[in-house]
Amino acid sequence: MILAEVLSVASVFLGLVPFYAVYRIIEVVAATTDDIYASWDAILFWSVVSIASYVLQRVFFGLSTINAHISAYTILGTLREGVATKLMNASLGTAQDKTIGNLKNLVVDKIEKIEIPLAHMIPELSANLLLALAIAIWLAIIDWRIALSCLLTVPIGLLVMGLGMQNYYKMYDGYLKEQDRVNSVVVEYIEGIRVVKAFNQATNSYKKFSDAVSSFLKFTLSWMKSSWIPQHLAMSIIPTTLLGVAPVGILLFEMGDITAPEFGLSCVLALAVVTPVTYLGASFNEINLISYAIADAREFLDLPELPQPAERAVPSGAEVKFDDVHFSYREGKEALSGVSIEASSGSFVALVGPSGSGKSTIARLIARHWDVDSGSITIGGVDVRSMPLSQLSDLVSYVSQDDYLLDGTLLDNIRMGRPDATEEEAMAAAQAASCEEFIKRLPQGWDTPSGEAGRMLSGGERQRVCIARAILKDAPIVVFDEATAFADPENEARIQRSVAQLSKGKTLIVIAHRLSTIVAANTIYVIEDGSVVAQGGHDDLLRECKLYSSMWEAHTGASTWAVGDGGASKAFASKAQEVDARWCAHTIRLSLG
Amino acid sequence: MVRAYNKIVTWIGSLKGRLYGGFVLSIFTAMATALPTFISAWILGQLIDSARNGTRIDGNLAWVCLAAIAGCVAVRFALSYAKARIQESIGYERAAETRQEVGDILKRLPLGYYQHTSTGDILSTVTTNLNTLELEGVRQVDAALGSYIAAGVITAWLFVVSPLCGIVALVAIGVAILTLVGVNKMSARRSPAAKTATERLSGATVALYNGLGTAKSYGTSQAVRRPFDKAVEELRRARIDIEFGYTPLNVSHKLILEIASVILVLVATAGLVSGSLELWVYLGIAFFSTTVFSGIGRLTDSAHMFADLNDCLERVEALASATPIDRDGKDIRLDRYDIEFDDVSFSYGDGNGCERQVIHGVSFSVPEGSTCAIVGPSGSGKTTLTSLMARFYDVSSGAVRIGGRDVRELTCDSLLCNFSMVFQDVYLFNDTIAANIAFGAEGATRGEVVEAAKRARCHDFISALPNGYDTVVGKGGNTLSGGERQRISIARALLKDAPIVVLDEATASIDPENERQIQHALDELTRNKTVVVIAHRLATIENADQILVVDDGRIVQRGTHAKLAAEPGVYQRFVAIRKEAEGWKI
Repeated sequence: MILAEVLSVASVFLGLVPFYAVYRIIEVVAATTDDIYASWDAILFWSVVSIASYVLQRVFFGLSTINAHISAYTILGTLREGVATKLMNASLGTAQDKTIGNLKNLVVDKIEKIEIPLAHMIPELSANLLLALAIAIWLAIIDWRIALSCLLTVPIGLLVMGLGMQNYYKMYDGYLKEQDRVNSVVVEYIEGIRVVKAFNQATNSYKKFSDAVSSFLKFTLSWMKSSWIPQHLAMSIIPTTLLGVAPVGILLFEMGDITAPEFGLSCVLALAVVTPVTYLGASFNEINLISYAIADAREFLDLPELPQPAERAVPSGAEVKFDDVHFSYREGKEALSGVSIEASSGSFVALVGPSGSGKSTIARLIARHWDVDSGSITIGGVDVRSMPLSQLSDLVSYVSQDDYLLDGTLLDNIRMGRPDATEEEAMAAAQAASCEEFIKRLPQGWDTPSGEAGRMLSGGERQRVCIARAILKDAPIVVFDEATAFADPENEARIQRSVAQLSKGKTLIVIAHRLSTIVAANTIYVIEDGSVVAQGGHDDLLRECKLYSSMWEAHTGASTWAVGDGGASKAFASKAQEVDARWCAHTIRLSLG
Repeated sequence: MVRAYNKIVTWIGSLKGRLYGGFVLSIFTAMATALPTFISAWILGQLIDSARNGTRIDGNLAWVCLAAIAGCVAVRFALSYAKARIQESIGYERAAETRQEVGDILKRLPLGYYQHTSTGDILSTVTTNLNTLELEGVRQVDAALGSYIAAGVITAWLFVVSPLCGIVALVAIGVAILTLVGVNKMSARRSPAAKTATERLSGATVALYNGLGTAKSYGTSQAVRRPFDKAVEELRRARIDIEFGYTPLNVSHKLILEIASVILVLVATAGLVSGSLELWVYLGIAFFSTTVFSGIGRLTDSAHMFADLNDCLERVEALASATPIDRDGKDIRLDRYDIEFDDVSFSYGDGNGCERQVIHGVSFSVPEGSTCAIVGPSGSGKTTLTSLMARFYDVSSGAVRIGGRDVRELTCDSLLCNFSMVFQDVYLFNDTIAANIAFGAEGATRGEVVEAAKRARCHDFISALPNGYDTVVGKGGNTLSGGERQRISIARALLKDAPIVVLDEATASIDPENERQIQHALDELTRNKTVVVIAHRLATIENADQILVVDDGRIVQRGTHAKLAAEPGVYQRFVAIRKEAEGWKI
């Protein structure tokens, strides 16, 4: 950047040489009355000097530009990566408070806009400022009154512009907000296109979309209109430096204070100062742009990170314990109010409760997507906040409802569980999660890109891929948030078998949306309104907990073919396998028959 | 460059008149801008003469000069203001129109389009590319033409006073155009890489955001970061690459014009010596020599921009010209609502010519007012069948008819207004709950929204939220559980109150304690309607008027529960498994 600056300044001063050359030529011409041929040498000499300085000036300019751009684009890259790093280190809640449109707009568009000020303005602005100053000084050397008259238009123009642009910041703020809104709405529109298609007839486009588009237009137009008069008035006055120079020059000539060639030089310099001065005027806008973009980037770069120690802790065992945990997603409503639960090493604990009771929140807190407001969550006696996030993720496999397939192939996605796993190990994990049959069905099999697979696979199948990932990861604690959607029975059976594989010999915490899956749990916690209202085995709860028994009733009532009561307490795993085996037998028979 | 120019003008379309009107004003603005320089040159001539001859100059000259130049400023302001009024907002107006057009087309594209085109591509077209177009499109066209008009005005004057000088100027402009063409070609070659990198970055940013949770759970932030960092680096390289191509051309462009200006002075001096030029004219040329080409000198930026704009426009056009699925459709009001599949086959294409047939010659009909349950293993084609009814895709062969009309005869709007759909994966817009429920039932009153919410059994939990129906939900709002979101989507379908209801596994996704309630809500939703349900629950299946058993894209059995349960076959075994699935824990 410094090199760019030096080169830029050098190129600007070389750019002054031709003006001087023109002055000398005019001087020669003015002084010569009859025998102009004698002056040809001088004229040619100054012409050659002009050309040489032009060439040098441009070479310096070119080098400066390239240098400035390399630095600028590197800075942009660093900024983008900084934003990403920040997002990844902040709590999930903090990150998700930002809309995706907002983020995209910042990372892609706004940061790109800093390029212009960075690559052009820093070297060019200072160079142009210097140039304007140098010309002003030169004019002052000719005559200080000429210098003043030349720069007269600048304050007048700026005053006009300043008066007209009083609202500039407010308007620009509004402009960016409107633009943000349009972009976020477009993102949504595309993501929800199926709903848009199915639900949105009769209107040209969905209302929110067209509203955002037209209000953006309206805003922009009104802003433009309000700035036209001052802007164009200023841009008509400022560059007309001759407005002062020519009349004042005439007066000075009459008084005999300047010569005719000096008048000529003054005019040439007055014309030369136009470019840097208008440049400075234009950069006024650009400086605003950069400050806005930086403020936006700041918003992300200043996100609070989840504090984490550098040293790995030494937990004893894989026991998970909540001690009087309070938590709220945002001010006001508590999602969890004083939850205490315990899952000893190797046990199977289930959480049940009405939707919105806080079950899934508990799972997210174990994975430390958020931090608790008060109370503590410990693993093997160590507070999750007292271990590095990497260690926590080594300890806990969290299969969530909305696990996401990342860019890459299906195989890559499974391997994500343990990046150093071999292909065979990854395939074995996939087999354990019964992913094999549907992966084989895909035209590209294991190498299907996840984006495509995401659209071809059902929700249950996607979740099985995520389970395979967790199986490969082989962490001592498994937190499984049962999906509410897409669990048709045959998928459910397979998912259960997969989870059984996943949780062999591990601490298993299941967030259950269907009671059927958790009858065999060692302890079932019944959660309601963010509190534990009952805990115990299935049979105990049926007897003692009204909520649980009514849920059970609803569940069995909804299942027409429900048989008998829930006496069975075979292990979750073996039961699931049993059913799956039966289902497999059926499918075999199906395909045979 | 001319192509890009033409493209922008075509894009501007009916607003073209205003664009050209602006150009006409530009000619006069250029004159008003150049005039003060001529005045000064003429004055300098007077001064030199007076110095040579020892005569005094007119005492009023200074004031006349001030008034004349001030007049030029006034005219310049008036003209440029008038030009802004008619020309400057064109880009914004057209961009807004284009956004609306694209929004409308996006809605009418087959879903297959979204499987072959990444969200990032579409996004950056509608946001980044259109933003560039509205900001720069008209401005660059104007800058290019404006600079040539300004240079043209002066060149024309040069031709009048000294044809030789005119020729020098013309040659300089001509040669400079070659470098401009070079810049444009270079940009056309190199800027698509940057565009692609930008699109990739868009996609990577969306993926990064969506993958945050997964990254946290697996501590594999690298897997999430890598594509993002790669896209960032790719974009950096592409941009620097462009700069390396651009700078030498930009430098030569400016240099050519600058050298030409020196030559211009030399030629003019020769003219003065030979006596063919008057002194003040010569001085005018000398004055102008430093600035005559400065407008054109800046055009390298425009040339570069033009390639960029061309690319933007091409992307916008590609999107805007994607063939809507209902291009030949008409707005038809249906008078009956039975559904008929006539020997329907369907294949998913992967966009590369590779096809996978998922529906094989399926025929069935659903009489108006009846309930049809579709059952079968996952991946057997159930969801595809319902998607074909709503014409999210077009059949490969055969026909789907609603009320006796081939769905291909209808526009998407006139077809889909007959459907209420509840999908297995609920999508809520980042908007209030009320707006999400009223989505698709424009003009619904708050009372109607609340009524629908009550019937879908969501009123209670909505009322318990701090802002009630005005609570904003969406991706960030993790305040709703999956079941609650599902019920909101049922309320949405209820409010729409369309004659055909399509449910995709809706019943399976609700919490146990709500199941019975939801069952009532669904009963309300489906009462007296033609219902197609992808069913998993035996209660639903048993009550259906007709059951279609689908396996591997074919209907393997059909009939009522009583009939199918009695005949040996897939269904019997299927029911047996379902009984176990629903009852095995008990």
